[in-house]
Amino acid sequence: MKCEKYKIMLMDYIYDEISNEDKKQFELHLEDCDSCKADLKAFKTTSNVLNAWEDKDPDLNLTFSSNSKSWFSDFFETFKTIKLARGLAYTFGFILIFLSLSNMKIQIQDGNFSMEMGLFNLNSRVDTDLYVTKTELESAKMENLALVTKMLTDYSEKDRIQTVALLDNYYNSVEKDRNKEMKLVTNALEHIYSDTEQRFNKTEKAMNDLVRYVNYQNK
Amino acid sequence: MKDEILIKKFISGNVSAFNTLVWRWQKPIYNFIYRYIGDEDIAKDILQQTFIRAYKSLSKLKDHSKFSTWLFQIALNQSKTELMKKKRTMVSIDEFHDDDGSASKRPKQVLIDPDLRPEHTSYNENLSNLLKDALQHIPSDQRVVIVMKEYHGLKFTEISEILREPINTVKSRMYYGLNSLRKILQKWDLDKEDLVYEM
Repeated sequence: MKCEKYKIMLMDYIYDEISNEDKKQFELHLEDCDSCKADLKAFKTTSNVLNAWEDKDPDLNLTFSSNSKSWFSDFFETFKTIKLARGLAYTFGFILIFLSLSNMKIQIQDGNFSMEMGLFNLNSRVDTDLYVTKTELESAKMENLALVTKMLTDYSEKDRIQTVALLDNYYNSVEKDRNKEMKLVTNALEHIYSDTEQRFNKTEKAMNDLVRYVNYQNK
Repeated sequence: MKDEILIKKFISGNVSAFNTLVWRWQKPIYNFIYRYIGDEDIAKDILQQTFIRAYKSLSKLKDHSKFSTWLFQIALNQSKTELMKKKRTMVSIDEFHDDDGSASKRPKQVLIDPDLRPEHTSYNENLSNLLKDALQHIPSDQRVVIVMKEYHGLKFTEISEILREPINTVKSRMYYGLNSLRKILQKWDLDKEDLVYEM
């Protein structure tokens, strides 16, 4: 495989990109190597055949014209070119600065200058005049509790009376209906009883007549 | 006017300077793409895409003296994408063999016999078509090196820069590419030097 290293050199030689030193070395090798000599001849021929293929014209009329862009498309193009990370970093930084400035408090009191800066404490900051003591707060809580308990008690009593009255009414109504129904049932039973007794008497009489008739016949 | 000057003019807002660059480079870039892809219509599409992309991103090119290298890189990337889409099936180099398996002389016969050529095609057009077919039979990484070297006369260092490959890899691909082409042309009996002079 001694020719392996000359393959690269062969390319340089054919296309005339070989250094003088390598050229001498390669030409010496060519004198002894029929394989490389054959390659050189064949590649030159191949190269010649390839060069018979002439360039073609694309027959295209490619023309670019300036296109006036709107500020929005300019902004959009610029935006696209900004890398996401850098863009996010800028945005985050801007938000931090905005929050800091919007929460800044400068005070000059008794000739002393003081400055407060914070990110999220704007809404939590309260005027000292609005503070209430713990006792006042407890007292307010107790008052609230008493009020709520009284409301609940009143409401319960009122509710109980109403319920009792409602139940009384209901009981009376049910009792009245029951008496009516009992009276009707009693009447019905009495009627059935008297009717049955009459029929029994009639039957007994008929039976006695029949017995008498039979006795008479036997005699 | 040098490319660098035209690029500066374009960046400062002169669009006609870019049109001059297009006019100057469209033929070589088109022929590069066509020989690499092997299809005229697709090559025209890729040519347009190449210049549109160049138009959009020329302002980002740092070294203006590398314009042609950069343009070849864009064209090559676009062509590679197209080749991936097409998934071109490689045709066997025995395509022109007869049914009995013997090597046919048909390509050469078609070339030299006017009666066998397709209508309205010259000897030269036919030879170009055969060479196009021959190039399509070799691997694309060898083909691109051969096209850049043989048809655009680029130095191996320039090809290495465009392909972003080591220079010896480029030379090796050139060697194996030429070797494959030689075999194909031998099979088709198109390896005789005198063939070129029959034109």
